[in-house]
Amino acid sequence: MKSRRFSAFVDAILGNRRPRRFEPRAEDADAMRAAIELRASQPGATLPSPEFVADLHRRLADEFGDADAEATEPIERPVSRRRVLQGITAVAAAAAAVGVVVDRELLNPADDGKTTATAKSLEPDHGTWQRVAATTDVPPGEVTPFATATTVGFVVNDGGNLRALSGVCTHQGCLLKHNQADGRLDCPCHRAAFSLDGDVLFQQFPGTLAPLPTVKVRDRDGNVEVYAPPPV
Amino acid sequence: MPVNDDDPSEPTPMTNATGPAASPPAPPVRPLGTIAHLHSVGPDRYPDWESIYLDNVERLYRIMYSRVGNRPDAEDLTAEVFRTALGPLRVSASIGEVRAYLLATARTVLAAHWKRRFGTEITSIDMEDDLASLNDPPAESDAPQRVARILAALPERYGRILELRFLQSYSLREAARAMNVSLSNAKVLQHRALRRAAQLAEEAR
Repeated sequence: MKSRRFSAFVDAILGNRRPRRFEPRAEDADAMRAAIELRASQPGATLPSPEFVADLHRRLADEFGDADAEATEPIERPVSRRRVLQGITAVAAAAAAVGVVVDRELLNPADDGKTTATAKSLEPDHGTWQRVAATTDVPPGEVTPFATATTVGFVVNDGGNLRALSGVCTHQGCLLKHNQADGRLDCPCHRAAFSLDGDVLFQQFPGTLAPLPTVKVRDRDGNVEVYAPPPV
Repeated sequence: MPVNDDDPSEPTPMTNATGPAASPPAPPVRPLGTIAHLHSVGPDRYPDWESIYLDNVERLYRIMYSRVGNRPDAEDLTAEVFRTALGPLRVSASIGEVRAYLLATARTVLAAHWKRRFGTEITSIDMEDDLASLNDPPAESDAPQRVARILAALPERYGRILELRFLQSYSLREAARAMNVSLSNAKVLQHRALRRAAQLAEEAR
């Protein structure tokens, strides 16, 4: 019973959901702390969504704004895109996935709905080629997840041609999961899925979703290597 | 500097806090809703409450997320910090004082969250370390490297189940299948692996 509740806690953390309350045993507390730390270290996990930042801004303006102050700037204006980009780019840079979450532009390329979202390539400034699998592990038709110290993604062998995609959802940074049955990459956090080319197959939330960025990949001496930032 | 009011129902982060919290008592609290009138000039001051919010919301959210590990709680607690702190905060306080106050409030809010939901504090905010990262967010987090080191240091099966669950988003059932164990064994394995990971993380600090 208790272990089921602990497992439910881990499931909630992994799904970015609010865990249900329970009374943890002494030995659970340490494990809960580790689960939180592992979850928070995932690329992009600690980024606040622009919607949350703007919504809280509006709520605080309702509560603390000064209705009499004519000279002050309009309080209800949403957070400027520039501001969000400045802040979030800094956060994204800190978010570990140096090769994956580089810029908020990659996550939400078109909040005005006018720009067509296009896939981008992730190329680190100071990358190295890093082995992620043996070539024989990725035969034609195979999809293999990989994780370097700084980058997570999938290597796809499409009829003998290798390609690598970021494994981070461009919505809010959740880690994607390979759905083998349907041949696609699913986001476990919200209803969204990408093709093995990185294109958006569907999303069930408003706004534009960017395709998955590609990561450089090569086959070298029987090894599959991706070009990613080295470990610090 | 920021102050608390005398209402016992209000959090009292400044009295609990260490470091910056030990500053001298502040002037009386202003009534709510007058923040926008109090403009103070100077390079180390915020011009208004919106500047306080915009400059700190992402920094605070990031700290909060790293303590609760899920978005709904991180959002609610971040909102609670600002709603609690912006009332008594004077805009004329220095940026350092504002951040210390926000963090002290965050510490109280987080502690209350854990007590309320789980009866015990699972994680907490450290006034010294977290204030340093609030003031000067690291350009690059070392969390993935630290986690990679921890996973590598775990016994093979412990590392494997955590990698499947946390890096490859496997469900517990899928992880059990991949490791050729029963679901209940996978649960036990996951629990033990996390406990061991917590020990290693503690040792690493």
